[in-house]
This record gives sequence, structure tokens and C-alpha cells, in this order.
Amino acid sequence: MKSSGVNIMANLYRISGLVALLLISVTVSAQDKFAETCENISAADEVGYFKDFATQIHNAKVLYCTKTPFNVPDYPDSFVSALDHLKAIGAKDAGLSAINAAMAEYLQANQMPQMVAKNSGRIEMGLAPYQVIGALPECDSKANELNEGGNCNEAIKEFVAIYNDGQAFYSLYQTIKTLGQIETVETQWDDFLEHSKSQTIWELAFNGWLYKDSESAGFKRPPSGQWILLHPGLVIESVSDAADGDEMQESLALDVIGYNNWTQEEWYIPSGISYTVLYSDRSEIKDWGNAVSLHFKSKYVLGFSNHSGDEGWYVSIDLLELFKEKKQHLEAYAANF
Amino acid sequence: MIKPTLLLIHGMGSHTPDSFRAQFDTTMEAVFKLYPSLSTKTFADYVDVKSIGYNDLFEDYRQGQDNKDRFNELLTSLPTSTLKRQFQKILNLQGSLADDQFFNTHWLDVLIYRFSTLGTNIQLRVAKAVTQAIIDEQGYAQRVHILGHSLGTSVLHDSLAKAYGEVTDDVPDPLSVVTQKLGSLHFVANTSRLLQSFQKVKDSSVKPDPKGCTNRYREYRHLLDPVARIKPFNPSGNGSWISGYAWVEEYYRLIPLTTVTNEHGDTHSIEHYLFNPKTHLQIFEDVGGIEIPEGEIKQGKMAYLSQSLQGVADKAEKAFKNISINDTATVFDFVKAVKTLEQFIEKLGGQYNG
Repeated sequence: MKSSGVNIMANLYRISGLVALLLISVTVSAQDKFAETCENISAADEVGYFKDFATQIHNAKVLYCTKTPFNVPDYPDSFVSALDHLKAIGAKDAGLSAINAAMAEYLQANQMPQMVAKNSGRIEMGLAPYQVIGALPECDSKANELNEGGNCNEAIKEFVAIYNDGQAFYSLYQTIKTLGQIETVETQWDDFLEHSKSQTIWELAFNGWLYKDSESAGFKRPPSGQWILLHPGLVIESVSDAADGDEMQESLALDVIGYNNWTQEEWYIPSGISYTVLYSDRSEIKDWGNAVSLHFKSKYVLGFSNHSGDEGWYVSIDLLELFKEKKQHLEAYAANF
Repeated sequence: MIKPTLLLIHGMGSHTPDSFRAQFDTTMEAVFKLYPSLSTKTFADYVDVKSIGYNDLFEDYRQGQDNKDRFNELLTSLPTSTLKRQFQKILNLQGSLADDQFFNTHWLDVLIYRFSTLGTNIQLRVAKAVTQAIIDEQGYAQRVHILGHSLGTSVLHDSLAKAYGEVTDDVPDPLSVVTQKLGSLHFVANTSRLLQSFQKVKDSSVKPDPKGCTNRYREYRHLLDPVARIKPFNPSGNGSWISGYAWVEEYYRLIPLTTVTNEHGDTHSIEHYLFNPKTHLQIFEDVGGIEIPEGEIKQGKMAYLSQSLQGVADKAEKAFKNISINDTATVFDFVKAVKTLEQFIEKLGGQYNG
């Protein structure tokens, strides 16, 4: 027989393999999904003021798509110096210095902020305002030169739209990656719902209260354990010292307190244990007894009881039904031979 | 034309994504009739609407209780004893709770969401839908908008607080408040402060700020909606929640509503909120693309006001006078307010729908 240490190591090895597999599948999936987007890059149409900038952003998107495997991007010069394009409509170095400094800081942190065009020569970047145009009449006149009939507000709107198009594309891979991570955690929580031991309202509240204590503002995998508290159930109990005909009976069981590890899925290793009180109506032996329940796969129970010296054993109705089901399968199987 | 996306999150009660979507669509149909230039169009012509449901998770829990009927049967057949009485008490508690319709559709929703781990399953579902919506918009997070109603506002807040929250071992790349800032959030009858748990609403990243996950944050609070009165979120402009600039520019806006148009006094319903021009015009402005001539807006507002029911408003004011705006209210006060509202609606011949 292997030592428990060896078993733990083997389990850890298996878990780490599974985690690695999950991470790889998230990465591969994100790569594939982003690659699909890369197949559909199109050039911006109806550009009136900033044709060069639109071309640069388009090229930057194409460039990103050539750098496989995709990763968090190194932002090309077209983003670093994007705001210089506003000089074509009268922006001056002095007016651009603050927003350029903020942009450099964002890009340094590998984060490309969104922009919003505001009237009167103002741009918001990351919800902070920057006055990029000093002289509006000059801006209007230059915008009109670039695009006949145009004006400063329209030109800034177009600049921001082109920029945001690139910004959205450059943040897309990261978003796809995040989705994969959220989906993995969601699957774990779905497993928790499906495979953990059923809970009464107060168990739900108690376990929730314990979990909330450690809950933070970020998604984490579910807890592996759950407390069992005043959990009612039905069992079939056998007490050999009971009067004839009374040995095997349906009994009420109340798991007073216990603990279950829902991630333990090997059917032959108990997933949980609880102190249980049993109650049944038999002549010659005490109606109630103390018991210890072993829980398997978070659902089935095998237990041992003691009614003031009269010992017995029991299984949960679920377990009995499982055996019945298996027996029927076996009989059906045997009938064919 | 690339349409923006509006995600809907329902409140308490037996909703499905489709049923809540139908409530939204029907109301928007009535809203569009208020404005001649929109009368031949639908909201879906301008915006992709997607509805997120979570009631199935509550339903699964309600139906998942083991052997309840057989348990009752056996318990009845046993002779009376002290132990049996204790069993009976425990079973009765679980059973009566599960059989009570109001408890099941309102109490249980709120209690399970707020106090159990099931809340996380719901938050993950919403976070996934939001992230998918950003991807569907080609990474253009500003084109994604979300509306939550009642309990759905708590779900909305908590889901985003985690999706844009801390880096964890399991989600090392949460959404970024810089690169994936959403277009706008609409909290209709906001319960997020009352039900706040792992993080206070005023401390989370769910705010219209450089360090927040949205460009716009709107709260709609009907003064005669008892549910919206319980522990409201009333941020101040002193710079502790959002920047002075965002405050001055009104990137946060509380929209108080007063008019009652529902004959049964259901001031809490999503229909009642959406039909009010103060609500839907704000949504049109933020989600974008729906432009109405100034003259038509006035005309629409007049048409809306002509449907107001002062008599019902007076009755509502009287019925809800004991449910005051309260800063220290608990979940129990909240459910009491829902119950009061339900009784009021039924008294006026209507049916409370969550």
C-alpha cells in the first residue's frame, strides 16, 4: 500500500497537470479567437481629416496580427505619437504636453486608455480632461483646409474615432483572455453547484457566511469544503438486536454537524463525516441513537449507529437507490446471456 | 451601422431572460409611440438588446431539496416524542419556507443572493456576458451598456466589482478600468448599497471615474417606490467617490421620479420606470443613436403626463409613509418594503410581478 505522502504527491501531480492543461486550453482558445478577428481587419472608410493616421492605425492592427503567439501588445509609435496628428488642426506642443505625458504613463503600464471627443478643443482620456486645442478659429480654419466644409469639433471627433478603433483592437486579445479565465472559474463553480452536498437554507447561509468572510473583489475558485449542519435525511437502518421483523427499518437521520469535501470524488474514499442522530420506531430498542455518518461522493451515506448499546448500521436512501439501480442493470445484463 | 449593446439584468421574482426582455420591449414600444419620429421604429433598430437571467439557479436550488415528501410521510407515521418534535421543527422550517410562494420568489432570491455562495455563480454568469459583449463589439467597451433592475442592480454592481476588481490566482487578468471602460450603467431602483457584501459600493471600481469601470453611472429612484427607499446610494461630490471633474460633468446622475402612471400603483416595476421620459430619455442619451427633435420631446412628455394618476400617487404616499429613506436599514426592512408594495398593488386590483 502506498503511503499517504505518496498519494498526496500523486494527487498534486494530477491536479497540477490538470491546471496546466486548463491554462493551455484557455491560451490556445484565446489565440484562436483573436486570430479569427485578425482575418477581418478592414481599412477605415470615409476618413476626411486624418487619412495618414487612419492608415497608421490600420497598419498597427495588421502588425499586431503578425506577432503570433499573441500577447499583451507593445504599443507601436502610431499610438505613442498619435496626438501629434492633432497639430494638423492647430494643436501646439504646449497644449499636447499634458495629454502626451499621461499617454506615456498609461502605455508604460501597458494600458491604452479610451478617448472621448468633447467640444471646444477638448479631449477626455481615461475620463480626465485635456485642452488640446488653444485657438478654436485657427482649428476651424485648418480643419476646413483638410476637409472642405469641415470644422474643429468634427475633426477631433474623427481623430478620436480612429484612435478608439485602434484602442479597442489592441485591447481585444486581453478581453478574450479574460473571458477564458472567467469561463474556467465559472465551470468550477458550476461543478460546485452540481457535485457538492445538497444544502438546507441554513447550511447555505452558514457556509455562505463562512465564505463571505474570505470573499474579495475578484473571482476565485469555490471552496473545496462545506459544513454540514442540522441536515435532515432518510436512511435504511439495520439493528440486529431488534425484534423479529423490526431489524431493517427506514429511519430519520439528522446530521447534527459534519464536514464534507465535495472535490473528493473517488467513490471508495469518504468525502465527509458527520455526527448524526437517528430516530425510528422499534419495539425492544431505544427509538433514538447516536451515529457516525460517512459521506461518499457528497451524496451517499454509510453509517454506524448505537441505540443505548444496540448497534446497527445504515445507508442513505440515495445509496440504496443507487444499489437498486446497479442491481437492475446487472439483472438486465445477465438476462441477455 | 454598428449598434451599441444594452445588457439587461432582471430583479426579484420568476423571470427568465426572455420574459424580462419582453417586458423591456413592450415598454419601449409604448415609449416610441410617445414620439412621432420614432413611432414606426423599434428600440432594436438602434441597439442590440441582450437579457441575462439567473433565476434558474434559484429554481435549481428550490427543486434540489432531497426526499422532502417521503421525509414528511415517515415523520407523520412515527409516534410523538421530544426528538420527533425537534425533527418536525427543523423540517417544518425548511418545508414552510419552501412552500411559501412569496418567500420563494422574493425572500429566497434576496437571501440566497446576499448570504450564500450561489451569488458567485450569478456574478460569474453576468461577468461572462459583459466580457462576451465587449468581444462582440470588437473590443469597443464604450459601446457596451448595462441596465439592472432592483435585485439586478446588486447583481450588476457585484459582478462588475469582481470582473474589474482584484487580480486573483484564478483570474490573473481581470477587465481593466482603463482599456475596457464601459459606456454606461443604469441602476433602476438601486439596491446595491443595501445588499453590499464583499466590498462597499462606494469603495468599488463601479463608478464613472478614471479609476472606475464606466463612463456614465445613472440611478433612477421613484420617490413612491418603497423598495428604492431602503438604504439608498447617495454619493457626494466631495471627491471621495469620483473625481471633481466627473462629478461636475454629471457622469453620475441621480434621476428622481415622482409621476405615477400605473393604475395598480406598481411604482417598482421596470415598465413603470422605463415609461417615464426622465428614464428613457437618459438611456437614449447615454446609449446613443436615438435622436428626437426638441419639439417632439416636449410633446412626448406632455403625452406621458396626461397618463399620470394622482389618485393612485396619493394612495401610494399614504401606504408607504412608514417606509422612510433609511441609512441603517437591513435586508429585513427591504423585504418588508417589498411585502408592503405587494399588498398595496393587490389592494388596487393588480399583481406584483417583481
